[in-house]
Amino acid sequence: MVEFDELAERFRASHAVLVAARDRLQAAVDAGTASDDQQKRLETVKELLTPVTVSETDADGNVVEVQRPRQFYSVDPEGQGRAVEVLGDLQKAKHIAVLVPGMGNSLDTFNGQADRGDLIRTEAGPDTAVVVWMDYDSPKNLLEAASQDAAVEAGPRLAAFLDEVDELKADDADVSLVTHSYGTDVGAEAVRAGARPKYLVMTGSPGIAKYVDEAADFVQPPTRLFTERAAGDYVSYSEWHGPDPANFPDAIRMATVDPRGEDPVSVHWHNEYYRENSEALRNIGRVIRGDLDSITTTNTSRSTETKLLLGASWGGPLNTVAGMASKVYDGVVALTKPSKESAGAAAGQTAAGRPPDAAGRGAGGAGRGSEGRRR
Amino acid sequence: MTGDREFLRSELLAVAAAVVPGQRPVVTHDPGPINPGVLFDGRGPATVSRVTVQTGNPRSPDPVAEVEAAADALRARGWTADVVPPENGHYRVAAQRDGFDVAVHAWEADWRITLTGETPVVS
Repeated sequence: MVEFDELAERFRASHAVLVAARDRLQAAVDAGTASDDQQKRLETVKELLTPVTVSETDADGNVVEVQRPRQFYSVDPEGQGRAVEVLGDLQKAKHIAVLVPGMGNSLDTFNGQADRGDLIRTEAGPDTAVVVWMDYDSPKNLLEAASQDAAVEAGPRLAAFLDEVDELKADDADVSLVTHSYGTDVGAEAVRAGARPKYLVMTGSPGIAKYVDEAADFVQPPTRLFTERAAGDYVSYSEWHGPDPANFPDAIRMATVDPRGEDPVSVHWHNEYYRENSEALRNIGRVIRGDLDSITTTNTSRSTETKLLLGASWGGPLNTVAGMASKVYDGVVALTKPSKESAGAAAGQTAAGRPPDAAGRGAGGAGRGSEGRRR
Repeated sequence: MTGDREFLRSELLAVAAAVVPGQRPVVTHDPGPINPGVLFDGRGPATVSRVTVQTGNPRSPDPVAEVEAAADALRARGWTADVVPPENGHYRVAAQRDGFDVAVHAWEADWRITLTGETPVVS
């Protein structure tokens, strides 16, 4: 359990860790003994030690600039590196989003993740805090990302962290878990390990497991699953790890393009969900602040999406090829993975326990409206 | 990319000053180039810069008028700017110019006006 007073102490302790790392790395650089990796890490640590700027008001009602240290809940500057940063006031926020990134990440890419976290926080609005959670060894490449070992290892730790957030936050504050790509596997493992965020958002997911084809297979109430799949998202089409959550009948599939056709920003492929002014980002903000009535949904198919994108349907063939390629991997992991039935039983799932749709209606048919229908 | 970043920052500051002339806008976020796809794959190159500026009228916030003023200021500077229909206390402008994207957010629940933008992707 983390006490309220302990949060500030955690921030101070993490700052001290970074200062010590900076001094040690700087000494190596000054002595001419630092490796390229150490020189890179020194630059990273210096960036993480750079204060952030916020706007406040003074006694006369003027807008003033205030600087303060960044708030690292935890940080490990060694090796691949890990960090958990809080953007905003975790204890006073009404809405909290925990952001989990995917593969290829390390401490040296953390500032990019924090930038996306800041973008999401801006979109969600005032009284929102975002936690950028990179407390796992993100797969370094596609070969490593083919395995879900890193997610399986990380899930319980993320679940434990969410328990700590529950201890820290205001009683009426809600928590969303926002995940992308391989991060969706980490998020899934967290809820399987007992995490109960109010909302679970999955964008561009490669799938959860071969036997998971509905939210009820791994998400327990009161958690609700919201998904996004953009046109041309080859990772979602591949279903490399399992059926695409965007096709789950009991998930709310959010639109990624403006239903009015007036969206100047088109989101395509796997990398554009977190793009300024996009419907994909706007819907994520709506979930975080609980404005579920404003969420827009879609039910477009792979075939439709790829035809619209390139004039030919390639989503289905890609799915077939990816499925064949993954059979080798499946053959190895099938021996150690539970079945859909055993996993559901272990999770205590029942059909009646399936999450309702965005507007609070019952199980089944959630979010399955036509493209652009306003909820 | 440095020129794009500086252009974006100067545009956001100018628009913020036009919306609330009596206040000095604050640059709250300007970390330099990042990889926009970092949440998928952190190995990608840093190809965009995002800048955020905040201002506001703490004594008498008026989000409806402020987003209209922001849209007017952006249009006067050559941007295509649209005031998006409000959603439950959220007021927004979406603006584009030469591959730059800008959003202006104002809220009934906050005095702050947040202007945030992203540079075009540098290949």
